[in-house]
Amino acid sequence: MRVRFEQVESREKESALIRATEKTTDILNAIDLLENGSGGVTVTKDRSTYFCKLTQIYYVESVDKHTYVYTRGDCYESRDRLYELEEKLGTYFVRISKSMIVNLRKVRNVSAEPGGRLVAVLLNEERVIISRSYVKEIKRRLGIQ
Amino acid sequence: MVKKLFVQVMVISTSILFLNGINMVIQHLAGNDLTLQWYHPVTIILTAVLCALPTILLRDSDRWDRKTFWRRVPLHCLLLYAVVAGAGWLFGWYDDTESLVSISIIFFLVYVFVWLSGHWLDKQDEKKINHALDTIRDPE
Repeated sequence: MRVRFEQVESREKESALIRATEKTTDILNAIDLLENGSGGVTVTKDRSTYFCKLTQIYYVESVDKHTYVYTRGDCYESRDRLYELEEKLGTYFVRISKSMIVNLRKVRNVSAEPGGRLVAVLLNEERVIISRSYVKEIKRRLGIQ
Repeated sequence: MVKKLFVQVMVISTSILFLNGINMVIQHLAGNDLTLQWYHPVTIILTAVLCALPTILLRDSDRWDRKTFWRRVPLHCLLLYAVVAGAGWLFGWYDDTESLVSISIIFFLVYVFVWLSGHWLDKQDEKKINHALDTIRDPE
């Protein structure tokens, strides 16, 4: 693909336009990187504050109005509400139930169960349930027609 | 929920009409011509509406564990059968035991078909999602 760079005066004027025949995985990755950079979220644990990179996050869960961010082996609390994180985290962080967002990059596989729900096995062998009503959005994020 | 009920009505009435059509072809080939009365299609749709109501039992089924699923689905099936058998008696779909048995067989075939086709569609989604995940997954 031909890439053209054009310098602008301010950050507000920054934008990217990708012209392609279809939204391939490479293009989705590029969009994710452009929209979200390689950022992260500020989290706390035992009264200490940490910066958690997006690439470390497995899933985010809301329990009793508290938001917890799970990495491979740790759990942190975030001050952000789930819907705020949903907007912040990027393309591959997708809502899978009313109380959970999962990082699709950390999903090893999914399997369909009777009743329409999907069970996702994460790279750390944890299992999370994907409600039927969120499957359409997951397919959209993955570029599946 | 309303959308779900509407989809159920469409699926059930289409399936009943489809299987009834096949049954009529088979009966015709066997030399026993069946004829539909003017009110039969409407009663099938009306029955589909009544059949959709027990679907409330299956609300939030994607959050159930397997035990709950296998406990509620037979109950749902029996409730539906009661609706179909009751509607059949009310609308005069069967005159004798033989036609009641025939309608019962059609009912259970439709019920299994709806679940299997739903599960097959879910399995197609599973394949597509797993294939797409393979291309974006972080290295372990």
